[in-house]
Amino acid sequence: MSATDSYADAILAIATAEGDVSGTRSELLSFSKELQNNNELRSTLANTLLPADTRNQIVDDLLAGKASNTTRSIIGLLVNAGRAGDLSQIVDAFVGKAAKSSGKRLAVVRSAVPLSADQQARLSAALAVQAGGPVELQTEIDPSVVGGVVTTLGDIVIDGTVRSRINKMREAL
Amino acid sequence: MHLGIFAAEGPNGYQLASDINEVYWGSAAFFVVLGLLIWKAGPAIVKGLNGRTERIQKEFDAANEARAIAEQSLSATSAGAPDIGAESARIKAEAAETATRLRVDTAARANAEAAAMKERATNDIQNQTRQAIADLREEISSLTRASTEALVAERLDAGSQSGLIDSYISSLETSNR
Repeated sequence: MSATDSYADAILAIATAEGDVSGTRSELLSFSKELQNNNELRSTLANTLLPADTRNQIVDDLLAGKASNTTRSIIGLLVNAGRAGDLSQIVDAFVGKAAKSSGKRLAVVRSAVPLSADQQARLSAALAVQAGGPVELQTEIDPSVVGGVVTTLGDIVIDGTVRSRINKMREAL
Repeated sequence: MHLGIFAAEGPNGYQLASDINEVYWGSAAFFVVLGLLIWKAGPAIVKGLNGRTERIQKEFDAANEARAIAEQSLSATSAGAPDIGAESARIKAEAAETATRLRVDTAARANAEAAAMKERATNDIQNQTRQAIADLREEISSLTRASTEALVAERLDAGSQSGLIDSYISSLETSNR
């Protein structure tokens, strides 16, 4: 078992014990995305030459009022362990394991605007038929899709974004 | 010895008168010795002469044989002389033919290479033109896409966004039926 899997299992165990796997997953994904988009933040948190207290303080400042104590503790744990550079992979592994442990397949849904509760329910039901079993949605806001939705269900990508239509139009040109 | 005998003078002043017996005996001894010589040495001398004659004859025969061979070679060479001329003519003709063929081949190869170079140059120009057009099209397309995305994003209000999502979900639901 790789270190990434070990950390993912540990996070799943903590989130399960705290009884908030879904919330932890959502907050970890948001932080992971923020980290991916911010090179300076990523290199700062991955810099083990900086004192651990300083890095923890940065995490606390960033997540204050935005994430649960469980999520802050998990991120602090990873940063202190010098795993900030691998945080995205660890979170992805955790999300996969969480979906698997719940007996559901993970569907990553990206859209330019948030989906309503009704839309999420309809989409989850439609994807469950496609997947042949229950599906857990992981919604992400991604302005680059311009409009519409793109869903990744395992190896299947169902692209209904405006951006893909523009790309097709561009290829036709 | 006889000369010595005849030259000897007797005490009476006549030569040979008192030594006539010596003359007889001397002559007889001479002929005896001569006979012995002829009897004993004669065959050997004759044999030696005969051997020499045979040897000379053999050498003579060998010389004749060599002469015959030389004459034969000479006649053969003389007889082959016209073939040498024909062979020479044939070689010359063949060389001329080869030279002509080489000249033609070289010219053909040079023409083919020139044509290939021209074709390559033409293709290169066409490829470069196509690449330039493709690059330009890509550039225009990228600019168009960026501006289109920006324009569409600007025009898409919350209702339109929600409509697009509903449309996406509906198409999934339709495909599931």
